Amino acid sequence: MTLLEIKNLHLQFQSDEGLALVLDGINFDIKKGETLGLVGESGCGKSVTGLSVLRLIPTPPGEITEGEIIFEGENLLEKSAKEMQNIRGGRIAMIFQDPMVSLNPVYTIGDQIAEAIDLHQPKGITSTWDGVVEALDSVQIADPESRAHNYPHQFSGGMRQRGMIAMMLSCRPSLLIADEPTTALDVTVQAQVLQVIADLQKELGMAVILITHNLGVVAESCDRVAVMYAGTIAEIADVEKLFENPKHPYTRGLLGAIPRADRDMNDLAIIEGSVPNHVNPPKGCRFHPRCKEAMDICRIEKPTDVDLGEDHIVACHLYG
Amino acid sequence: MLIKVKNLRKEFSVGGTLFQTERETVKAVDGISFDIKSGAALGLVGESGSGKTTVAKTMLRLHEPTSGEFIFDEQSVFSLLPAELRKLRRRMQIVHQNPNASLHPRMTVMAQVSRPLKIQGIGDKSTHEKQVLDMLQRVGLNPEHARRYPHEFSGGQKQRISIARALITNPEFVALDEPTSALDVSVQAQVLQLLRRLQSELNLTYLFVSHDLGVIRYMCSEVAVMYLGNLVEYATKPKLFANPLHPYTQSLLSIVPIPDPKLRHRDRKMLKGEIPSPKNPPKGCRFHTRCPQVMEKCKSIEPKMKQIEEGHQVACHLYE
Repeated sequence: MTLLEIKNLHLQFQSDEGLALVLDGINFDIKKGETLGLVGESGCGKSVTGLSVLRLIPTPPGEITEGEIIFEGENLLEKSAKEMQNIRGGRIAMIFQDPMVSLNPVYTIGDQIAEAIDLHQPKGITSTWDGVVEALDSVQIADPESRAHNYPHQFSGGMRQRGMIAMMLSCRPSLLIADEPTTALDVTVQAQVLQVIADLQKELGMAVILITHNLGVVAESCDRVAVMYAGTIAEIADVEKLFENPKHPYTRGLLGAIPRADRDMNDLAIIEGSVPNHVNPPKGCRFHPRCKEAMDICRIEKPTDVDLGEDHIVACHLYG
Repeated sequence: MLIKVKNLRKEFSVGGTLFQTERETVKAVDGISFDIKSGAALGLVGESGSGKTTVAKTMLRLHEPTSGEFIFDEQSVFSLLPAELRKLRRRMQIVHQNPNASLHPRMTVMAQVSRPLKIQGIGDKSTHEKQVLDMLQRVGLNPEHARRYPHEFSGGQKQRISIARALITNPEFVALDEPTSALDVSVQAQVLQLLRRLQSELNLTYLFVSHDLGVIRYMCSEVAVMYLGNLVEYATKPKLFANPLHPYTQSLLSIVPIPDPKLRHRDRKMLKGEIPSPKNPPKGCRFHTRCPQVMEKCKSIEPKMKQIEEGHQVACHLYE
């Protein structure tokens, strides 16, 4: 069953250099309980996609000019500010890269989780404080009763991120948007945090949008993957299919560019150049200046989504 | 051996401020030894706070060492007088992680890349220009880039400028401190490929500091694993990746995310907790608080580095 569907979403920002089209008509959906990886390099639009779903794009300078975001049957773009407040942290939760910025330094972790619980009144919780302790326990914080009285600076980096997760999941959302949740963490702690998210997801049956630049993390934790490039979605497929049989030249390049820890590699795939500017993006396919397989049509016409079957979708003229 | 490091120690004194009046000693690097052959690349890998960057900076005397020896081409670097050290600096250079911090924002590329030549008194103005232009070409930049300022470049190009500046004096040894950590994966691949090409063209010797085991495997011929200021394992690349001996190395290799969903269900040796503070490191083996195979003596006796076979050393009581 589809939980969230994004249709033809266009987002633009007014910047000093001019109008930047940071999302140029993206489409994807996510099913109940599923983990979708939203992967791409900096500036591809993966974080603003997450923020758009929660209507957290500052307007102005940002503006969603076209498209729909259908969540549990309702278009979030038509909701009032008040209705969105109930949805945020209630049915849809989001965690960010740096928990130190998201947590309030002058309130205890427990108070901050309690605030979320009081606001959204999730079912099945006997008292607010029990909910707090249970939430901290569920993210494997040892001694949750006393740890709840700690301030964020008394937590280590990995504990803070788990504290954030506890706060977000205390209200049992049906969708968690995790924006680079482990990027600031060491590899041993990253493994712990990803495990906590996966365990809770199973327990609560929630869907997760995992926004990351790390294709290793995607391969380990996602069911499906959407590869983004310069405000467009290049390819969407099941995780196995995407890694085994990538179709878009950008996906192929990215996968070949990762130096792997599990095998020796003689050469890395090289994608020449760098990510384009949003104010003056390349015409046609935005990837064409860096694409080794670019054809004449790629310079003129924007590729449409081609369904290769079994939910494998690619936006590339090679398949059109 | 071009590089011999013996029993290197670096302590920092912290505190003595309004908020923390007591002074404490942090043993950032606590007695480590390694060699690098001319033309080889040693990878120094570890989590944040392990001391890997301090090793690189102390070798170049950007920090003064607390004790130990660094023999560079039969000269004892730590006992050189300032004038002698300055002369040697043309032969040893460093590339830092963040080019935004290491490049001067108000100097043109020409001015900053030629600066080491000026300081070292190599050639004169007329030769500098040609040397800089040649070097820019070597690192994949255009001659017209020479007149521009750092903010006009992308992250990858800025790192190329840093590399050009490090190589302009024709050094034999280059310390690379997380040179691609701030870069996107497609740009990282370009820079890694460049560093490999430069190494073989110019017969450079590298100390490559990184937290990324994939990058280390791609770039290095030997690997040293650091944990809280100590080396725990030191081996040739094939030996370390095929047969890791230290429980810490074994865990790192088992949990590093691999971009292949088919390997998702492999065995992982998860570690509990996070790296302790170097202000107050555990007694005995510093890893014992997180070690899955901890024994009684690990808690009190510090293990010594021991050669298990040719080209493979480990500091762990399991191998005594």
